[in-house]
This record gives sequence, structure tokens and C-alpha cells, in this order.
Amino acid sequence: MRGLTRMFKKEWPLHMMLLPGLILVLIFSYIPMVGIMMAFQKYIPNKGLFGSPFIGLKNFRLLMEYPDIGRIFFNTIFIAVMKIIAGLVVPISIAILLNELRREWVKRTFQTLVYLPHFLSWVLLSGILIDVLSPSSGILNQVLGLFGVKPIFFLGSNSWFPYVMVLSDVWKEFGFGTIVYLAALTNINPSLYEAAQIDGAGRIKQTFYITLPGMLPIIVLMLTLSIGNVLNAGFDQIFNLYSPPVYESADIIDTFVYRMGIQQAQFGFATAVGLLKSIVSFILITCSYVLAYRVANYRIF
Amino acid sequence: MKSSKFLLSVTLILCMALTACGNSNNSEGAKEAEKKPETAQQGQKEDGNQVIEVSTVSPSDPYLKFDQGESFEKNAVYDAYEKDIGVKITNKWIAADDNQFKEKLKMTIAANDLPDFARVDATQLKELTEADMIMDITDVYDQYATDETKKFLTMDGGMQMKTATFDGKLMGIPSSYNPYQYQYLFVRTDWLKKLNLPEPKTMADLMAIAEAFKTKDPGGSGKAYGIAVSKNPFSIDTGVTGLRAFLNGYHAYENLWMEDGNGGLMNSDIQPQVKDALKALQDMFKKGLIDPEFTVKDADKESELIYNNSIGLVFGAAWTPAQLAKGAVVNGKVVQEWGVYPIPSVDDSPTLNQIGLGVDQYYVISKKAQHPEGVIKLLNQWIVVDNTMNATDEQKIYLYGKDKQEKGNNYWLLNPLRVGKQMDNNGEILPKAIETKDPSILQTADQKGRYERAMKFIDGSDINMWWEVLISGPKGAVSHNPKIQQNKEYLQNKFYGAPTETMAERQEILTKKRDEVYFKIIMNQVSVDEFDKFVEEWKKLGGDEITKEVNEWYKANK
Repeated sequence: MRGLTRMFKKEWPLHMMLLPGLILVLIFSYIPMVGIMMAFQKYIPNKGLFGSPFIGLKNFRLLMEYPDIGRIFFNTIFIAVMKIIAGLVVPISIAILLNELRREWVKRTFQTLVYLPHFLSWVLLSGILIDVLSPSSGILNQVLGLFGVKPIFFLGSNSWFPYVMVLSDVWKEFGFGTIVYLAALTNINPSLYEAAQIDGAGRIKQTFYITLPGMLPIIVLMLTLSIGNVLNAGFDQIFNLYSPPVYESADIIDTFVYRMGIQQAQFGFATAVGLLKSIVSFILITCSYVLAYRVANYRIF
Repeated sequence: MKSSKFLLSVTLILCMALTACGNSNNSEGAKEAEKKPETAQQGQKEDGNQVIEVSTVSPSDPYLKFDQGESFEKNAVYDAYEKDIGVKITNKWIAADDNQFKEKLKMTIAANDLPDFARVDATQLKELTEADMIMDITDVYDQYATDETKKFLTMDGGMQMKTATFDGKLMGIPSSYNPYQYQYLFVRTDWLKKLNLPEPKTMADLMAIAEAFKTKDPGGSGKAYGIAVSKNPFSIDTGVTGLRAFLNGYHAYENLWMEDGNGGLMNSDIQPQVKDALKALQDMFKKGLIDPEFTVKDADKESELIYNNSIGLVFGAAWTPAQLAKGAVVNGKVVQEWGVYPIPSVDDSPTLNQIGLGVDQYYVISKKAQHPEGVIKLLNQWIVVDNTMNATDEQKIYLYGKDKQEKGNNYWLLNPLRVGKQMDNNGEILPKAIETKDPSILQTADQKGRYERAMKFIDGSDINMWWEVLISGPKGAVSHNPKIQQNKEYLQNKFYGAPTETMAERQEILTKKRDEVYFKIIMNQVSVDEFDKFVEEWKKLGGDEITKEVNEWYKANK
């Protein structure tokens, strides 16, 4: 205890620096949690949060009764899981390949180019995607046409839509993800590679026995973080690209909540779905953290 | 590195300074606003002045610019109200814009802190009535509203006033606008001439024209379609490239409550006429008359096909020419000729244009208000000043501020209570005036503005005003209105007011199912008989329940 006090005396300026962050978290993350109450209410704006009548679990029951709810959950998880996997594999591979480049300027140019799309909004990108993927005039279908493939209406077909979402998301984000892995690569001791070369390991073997194990902690961290997002399949992207014919494969929890909550003013219901989402995400992130700790001995705290 | 740090700190300091200033201004303004009413009320009591005071809440507007030294607390418009009709206006608070206004209003209602009068939406009107927070203004309105005001607000036969009436009590003044907004068919007339086709009178004509436009490709674009359709064709907001008018031509309507012939109401989405319309659309799709990618294109994107001469048929509202202008007038030359026609009908009976009620907001008076008559006086005055053709200098203050000159400051936004005309006779007046070049028959400020714009195109001084002629000219869109109006070729939604309980819960489900099925039928992904299954499902998923509630409401409000 005395040791603690002494430490605090010595380091109090550092602790003070934490304060603004703590206050922000308190104000913007903890206090709004009171709003969760709305999930159990028939929220009436002029009665307010504390005056609206409680209706128990009716909002949740309504959600379960919704005819397409199974489909919506499936779409959400399907698209999100594929995005997580692709969002890990692609940036890692690119990072490793980039790392092999010897010319520094090529590396930098490539890096800059691939991470630019990260800064474009889906509103803008959806316009570009619609043009690129158009069956009548899109460049992709024209290229496919050279190989005798019939034009495909990617954004209007239920079998293609989820994959288009995953691929376009990976295209937009992989450059940004690559930065993290490139940083991890610089942490690997070069003498390990030299030793491996002396032992006669080729590039492939070096990758598998030195590079990948060296990156493992970061990979596990990124995976753990992304598991929490498993129910976030990407509202912006899908909302800007979907249409009634592909509702079947494209409607996700967030787009559903948008239509229900914002357009129909069902605030209580929208909150209930949001809460459910948070609970599932919380369980998943806890599981993945425990797994990461057990399997890779990785700890954040 | 050093310079960037310097820059960063400068920006930070600037930001802080700016926010600080902004804050202090705001709080001072708020304080002043709080103080004002008290002093004013005291003054009134002391010298027995006839000036009465009403408080309200106002949204600011990015387009509102104050003259030097003026603000929401003190400005020429408020002064004019005080001087002309003896009503002093104060604001309990000012919101930065309309969205913030709605947010703040919710809080104000929640805090039970209503000003003397405020603008609310239909749901809030109902809630406030039920919560007993607003005044029954039947008598006040009766006593203080001028005959002109009463006439102005019942031009539609009293429908809008009825939406504000609960159990025979008038609870608010509708913030009305003209509900008689029709849709029309716009056709490339240069193509009609080129291909020697007759003007479209029936749906069969329309199909023939669409097919000719597609196969003969008069625009020479190489990729032509028959008709322009965009991704929200059934949405109420789609004023151009929609399919609502097409449905109307088949006597089908989009989400409208209509009489079922037995004294009750039924929803239009599940009527058999819709199936006919969908069947026709499916046939068109099969023939390639509809852009197969319409589901992902919004109105602007779809319009590109119109601009580049690929489509020559568009359904849309009266303002559609403003959209068409981008392709029609290029480099100071008119390169596309368009004509506008009434929506053709599939059979002998005329097409009924689907319309709403023209009201979704109301001015309500708080139960605690001391001077409800002041609010009605404001209303009277607004109707007078906004509807004169040749405004006097005094009246110009209400629109332009103290120097009575239009300079883009939008002082009219300062009028705290504004209602729009429920009906206009643009269709009778404008085409005649423009044809005979006679401005003497014009009656309203709106007509004057439109006439002047159209004349600029006709006398050749501004070719970009092309669109106004297609709207207001002798063969323009509104020239069809008198006939529609006379023959009552419109169908008005019979349900108004706040959504019923099941509607609030289930409407989204029904709309989603509907769009899914309609789109799939149009795109020939499923057979048109799928519509019958949809009708069954619609009923089961809450449609029957909603119909029941709507009918209960109808019985109570008929």
C-alpha cells in the first residue's frame, strides 16, 4: 500500500494525463448506457426516458417474430465472418510480399496507393462500384466478356451480392490493414533470417518459420479486435448498394434497424436490437480473448 | 517538423478561440432571450399598452442573413408585427437549423416547457392533445381569424383543418401546402416526329412509343430503353423517374387508403389492379424496355441515360423539366425537345392522379398561453403579406427587412408562423399569360416569378430558362391541371394523422415485402402470380390488423 502511495506521488502527472480520456469515456460511453432502458420501453418522445411506459421484453419478442429475422442474422454473420477472414489473410500476405521488395521507393509508392481507398466514403465508392460492375457498360463485365463470360449483374444477384460486399470491402481496407503488419515485420530480429539462411532455409521456409511466428501476437490482437465486430457487416456499404431484389441476401441487422428505427420511429425496438447486438459481441470478444490467452499466450492487460 | 508543430498549435489555438467566442455568444443570446420576456411583460402592465406578447421557438436557417445590428431578438420583421398588429414576438430558444429544431422541440415537449405557440408534426400533435398540453383553439380561431384567413385555410374543402381536429376540437393550425401535386408523362417530341408516332393517349400508345424508342433508337446512342425507372420507383419522394404515375394509369396506387365501396377503407398495395400494372411492367422488362440495372440507380444516375439520348419517356412531377434541362439545353442550345402529357390510361376511364393531403406539420398553442389571439393575428397578417402581388413598402418589410429590397437575405424566414396556399390556379393563369405575353392577369407573386422566367426564354435573353416554359408555358405541365381539377381526376389519401399502433410496428415489414415482390415481378425473376401470395402474406403480417385500425379511425373521423 505504501509502495502504491509513493508510486502515485512520483507519477501523479502521468495519472493526471489519463483523466481527460477517462472523463470522455465516462461521458460518451458510460452515461449513454442509461439509454439501454429504451429497449424495454414503448418510448414516447414527449414522455422521455423516465416517463415512457415499460413493456418488458415485447421489443425482443417482436424481433423474434419478424418473418425474415433468421435470414437477416445469417446474412449479417455470413458477410461479417467472410470480411474478417479476408481482412486478415489479404493484408498479411500483402505485407509479407511487400517486405520482400528490395527497392524502398517501390514499396512506399505501392503502400500509399493501396491505402488511399480507405479514405473514400462508401457513398462515393458505391457510385464507382455501380459503374464498374454494371453488366451493360462496366469494365469488369467487359473484361469477362473477352473470356466468353456472359454479363453478370453483380449487384442485382442474390448469389453474387455478399461476395461483392466482401471483395469490395477488402479492396477498400487491405492497404490500411497492411500498415499494421508491416510495422510488426520491422520488429523481427534480422539476425534470425541470417541464421536461417546459413542453415539453408529458402524464402518460403523463412516466411513460415520466422516471419509468421514473429507476427503472431499482432495477428491474434487484430483477430481478437475484429471478433467484436462480427455483427457489424458494414452498414454504409450495404445501405448504399443494396436494393429490394437482393434484400434476401443483403439485408443485415444494421440496415434493418435503420429502416425500423429511423424510418418508422420505433426507437425502443431499434435500441433492443442494438442491445442484443452488443451482448452477442461482448460474449464473442470475451471468448476470443480467452482463446487468445490460452492458445497464443497473448494478453492485452 | 518544427513548422508543422507550429501550424498545429496555431490551429488548435484558433479552434479554441473560435469555440470560445461561439459559446459566449450563444450563452449571452440565450440569457438575453430569457430576460426579455419579463421586462416586456412588466412594461406592458405598467403603461397599459395594447401590445400583447407571444413566445415561440424558432429554427435558424443557413440562408437567413441578418442586416447589420439585427438578430432574432430584434429585427425588422418582429418590429413590423409589433407596429402593425400589436403582437410582440419573443423566442424561448433558437435552434441552429431545422434538424436541431426538431431535436430541441422534443426536449422542450419532454420538459413540459412549451412556448405560447410552436410548430410540431402530426405525431406530436396527437401526443400533445392526449397529454392535454395544448389549447383547444376552436373559439379563438373562430373569433379572431379573418374571413380571408378562414377562406385561405379551407381552400381544399376543409380536409387539412379536419386533420387538426380531434373530437370536434381544433387543436392546431395546419402548416399547409398545396396537395394537388400531379404527375405527368414527359416525352421526347422530336423523336415522335422523327419516327412519325402519334402523341400518347392510352397505355397502348405508350407501349408502342416505348418499343419504337427502343428498337429504332432515334437518339443514336446504341443502347436505348423505353422508359426511365430508378431504384425507388414507389417512394413518395420520387418526383422523377418513378413508377407511381404508371401504376395510376392502371388504376393502381402506391400505399394509399381508398374507399372499399362498403363504407370502409382498404389499402391500395394489395388491389388486383396492381397485378395488372406489374404484369405490364414485366412484359416491358422482358422486351428490354426497362433498364435492367434500374434497381441500383438513383434518379440522377438514371437521368444520365436521358441526357445521353437513350431514353425518351419519363414519368414525373411538374418540376421534372428542371431535371431534364441538363440534357436538353447544352452550350446555350436546345438539343432535346420534350412534350408533357397527362398520364395515359389503360382503359376508357380516366387516370386518377394519386395525391396526399398537403399537410404534415401544425402550429399548436400551449395551454398556458396568455394571449392565444395574438397567434391568430400573426396568422392573419402572414396570409395578407405573403399573398399580395404588388406588395406595399410596409409589406415588403416582412419579406426583405427594413430596406425593402430583395438581396438574398431571406428575411421571410423570420415570420414565425407561415402557411402555404392549399391550391393554386397556376394552371389557369400561367399558360394563358405566357401565350399572350400579358402579365396583367397574373395573381400571385409565384406566378409573377414564373412568368418572368419563362419570358426570358421566349425573348431569347436566357436560354437556360427552357425548363420554366415546359412547366408553366401554354403546353407546359401545369396547363393540364385545370382539366384534372375540373373532372376530379385525382384520388386523395383518405387516411391522415399519426400512424396507428400496428402501423408503427409493422409498416416496415409490409413495405419491405412489397418492394421485394414488386421488384422481382418486374425483373421477371418470379411469375406475376407471386402477387397473390404476397397479398395473403401482407394480410397475415399485420396488414389485416392495420386495416382494422384504420377503419376504426375512419369511422371516428368521417
